[in-house]
Amino acid sequence: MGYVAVQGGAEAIKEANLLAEYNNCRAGRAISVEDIRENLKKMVDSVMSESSLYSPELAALAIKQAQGDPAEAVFLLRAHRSTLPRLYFTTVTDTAHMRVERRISAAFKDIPGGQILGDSPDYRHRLLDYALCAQSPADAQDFARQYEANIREASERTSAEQSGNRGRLPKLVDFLRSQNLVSNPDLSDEPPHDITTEPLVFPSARSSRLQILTRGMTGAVTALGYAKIRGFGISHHPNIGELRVGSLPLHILSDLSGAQEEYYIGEIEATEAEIFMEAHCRGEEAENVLGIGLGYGLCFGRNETKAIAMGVLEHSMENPGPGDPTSDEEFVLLHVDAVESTGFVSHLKLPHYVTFRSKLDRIRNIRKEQSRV
Amino acid sequence: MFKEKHFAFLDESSKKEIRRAVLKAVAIPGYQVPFASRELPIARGWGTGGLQITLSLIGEDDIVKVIDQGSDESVNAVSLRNLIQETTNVRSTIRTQEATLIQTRHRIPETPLKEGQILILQVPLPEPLRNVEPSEYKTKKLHGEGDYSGAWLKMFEDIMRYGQTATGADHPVCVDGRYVMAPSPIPRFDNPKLDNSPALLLFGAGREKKIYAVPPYTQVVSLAFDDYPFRRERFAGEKCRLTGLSDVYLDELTDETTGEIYYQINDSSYLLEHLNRETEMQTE
Amino acid sequence: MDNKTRAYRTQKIFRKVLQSMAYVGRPVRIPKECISEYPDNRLFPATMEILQTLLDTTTGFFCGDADENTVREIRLRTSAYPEKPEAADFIVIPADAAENAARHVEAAKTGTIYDPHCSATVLIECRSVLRGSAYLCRGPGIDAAIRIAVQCSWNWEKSRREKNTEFPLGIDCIFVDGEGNLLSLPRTAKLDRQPGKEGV
Repeated sequence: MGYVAVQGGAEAIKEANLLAEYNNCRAGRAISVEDIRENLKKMVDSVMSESSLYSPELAALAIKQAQGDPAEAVFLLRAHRSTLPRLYFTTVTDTAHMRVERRISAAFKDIPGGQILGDSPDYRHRLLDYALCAQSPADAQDFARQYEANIREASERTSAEQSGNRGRLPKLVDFLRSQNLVSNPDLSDEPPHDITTEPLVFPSARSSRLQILTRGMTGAVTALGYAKIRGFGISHHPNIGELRVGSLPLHILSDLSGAQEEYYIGEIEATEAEIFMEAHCRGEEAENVLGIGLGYGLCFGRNETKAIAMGVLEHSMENPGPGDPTSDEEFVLLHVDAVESTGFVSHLKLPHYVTFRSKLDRIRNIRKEQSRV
Repeated sequence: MFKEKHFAFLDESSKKEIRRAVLKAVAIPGYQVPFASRELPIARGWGTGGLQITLSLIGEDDIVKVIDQGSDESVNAVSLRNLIQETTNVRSTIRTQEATLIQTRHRIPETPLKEGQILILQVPLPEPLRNVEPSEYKTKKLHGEGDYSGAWLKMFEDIMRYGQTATGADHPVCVDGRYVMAPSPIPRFDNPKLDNSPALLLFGAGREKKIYAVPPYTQVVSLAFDDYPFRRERFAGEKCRLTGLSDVYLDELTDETTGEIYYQINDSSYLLEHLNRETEMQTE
Repeated sequence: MDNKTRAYRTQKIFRKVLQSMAYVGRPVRIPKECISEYPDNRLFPATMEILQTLLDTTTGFFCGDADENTVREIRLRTSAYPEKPEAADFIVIPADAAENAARHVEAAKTGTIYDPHCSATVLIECRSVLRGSAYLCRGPGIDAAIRIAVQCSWNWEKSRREKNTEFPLGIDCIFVDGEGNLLSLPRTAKLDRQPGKEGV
């Protein structure tokens, strides 16, 4: 019987996991995954968006498992994503087909189809609502039932006005394009890059940039978008041409039936932002005329600030300005990802004694040599 | 919902992409092959590059060894090994000579590697030119054009300022006379082990999404000037407290009761084996 | 074959390919139990197995002027797409396609100095990788020097040499024979023709 390895590491991990579990359980409470999905929707949405995995159920589970830490929940879902085979690709989804639930424009008062405030916290006063401390599931059910009854009654009164094409609204930017205020984009039939299966190379394609931004950390994308419009970029602020929230139908192509056919596979909720930025456009006669440039943001779920900031950053990288950090694609794209930034920062907690010892050796040697001189 | 675990965690098409990158990396020694890099159940920066390579290579017949800073039993080594074993059921070992795949962070084992073994190094920062050029686009150009003047200039500046190069771990090397490569933060003590190694050396950077390799029997030279030669860490007169050995990488430790500094072999399995051999010899 | 068996098998084959690419010039053998039968196909079964190990939806392949059947079967089994020789990630030279082989290898992409990995891997089917014309190889992956012997009906050595003059640009070759033996020559391997034949 000789020396054996100390099993300290394995023991410590086991105990740390048990302690974490205990700390979560000791009050004797257990929130259900369904509660998270239904009551913490904004969090579910931002976790789905940052994970680039659309599944409210799995996102709610991840939030529960992560004890509410959004970065940890994103991490769980991203890891899960790596185990899933990619069976199909959806066909192009035209966002003009969005079933709109909310839609505003800050640039125009009247827009074709009208403004729809929808479910928005923007004009709610941020006062703590103590009544929520005592809210029970029964209270929630009562409120919902009453609200639905009111809506039904109101819609019966106005039923004649309902049209068949409910929620489908024309896009403002199409109107501006018809007025030649926004230049028509060069249509590209190049298939989009998939940043999760192909390496990112610089200079990057626009499809790669949009994907990285849409799954960027909400806070990071917002902060960099803010920097751009506050002064490290432009010091005037852009206009929200159109911001809409609603459901997008998704289709795949398959030849399962023998012939190549499109199949509807469901819908996702998304937020879309079209941001007007001052820009040089190609005019009909002059090479450059002042016009409106478009920044585009789109993300899973209801996540308006992120979609807007994404549009700002996307435009910034598409139209780089000298010395503007937010138009440096490497600076933006390599630092906004939740899994990468939290991973690398947290890895500093790992032991580094071999490397530190090597550094110490250098410092001691340099000092020794210098003192000799 | 989704309960069955797939062999070696990653889905098969992810493995294929990584495997193709590994083959190109071996064919172009020292060149950083970009790959898409999957998220894993462990955090970016904690060994995901190495782990993706391990999971893409590993099979039922392998015997795996995982070390972190020289130790098989540090928490991160245990955590990575558990993940590998939970998803593959392969055997693990702490004995370097027994392992077919060795995943390591910041050390190359003291026991010499042999033909057929594969050493997989976890890499935090794969770009040896990053400290002279922050832009990936530009460093890629510099590698393409073989322009390493920045790396030399950095060492020259160190010498002007400190009288010697100031790199600690991760001292850059030149592979087969062409690519300058970050050997990952191994101490300079381990740099010579990269040269003409009988084993295949693979490097994985998960967050930075790069895979690179040093094939067996490949020349690897640590960057240095003729009049300022490359030097390993020196443990002048220092010996391992337990074995008395000196030509090994030593940890510097403090005795809790006396407050004295003492030294001990960093490679924990090498230390164990040495101690066991000694006890065997004594009992005989 | 179920997914799990396929996963185990491709892992084994990949390790053989990796071993041959790392230990340049040393033949390795794909175990018999890892090779299925492919009756309506002009390629060696071992070649089909290697293709299934490395190709997927993101890779383009060119398979000589092969018949439609073989191309269709590769597509079906790997989801890879057919590509022109100058753009293909993988070029397969079937054993019975000697007449155009050199032309296809000449067309192969060699990458750029910035992206040398965007270059073709060429699978060359030949009669034997254990005996035939002898060469002395040097380079990374080789302890000093190694003798190889390949029996092949066209002058692969000249085509390969011409593609690999400007490192890091180049092509990487994997030779496969009907027995399931393979031998790899990455772009770094330098070859010298040796007099006589080896192992005949």
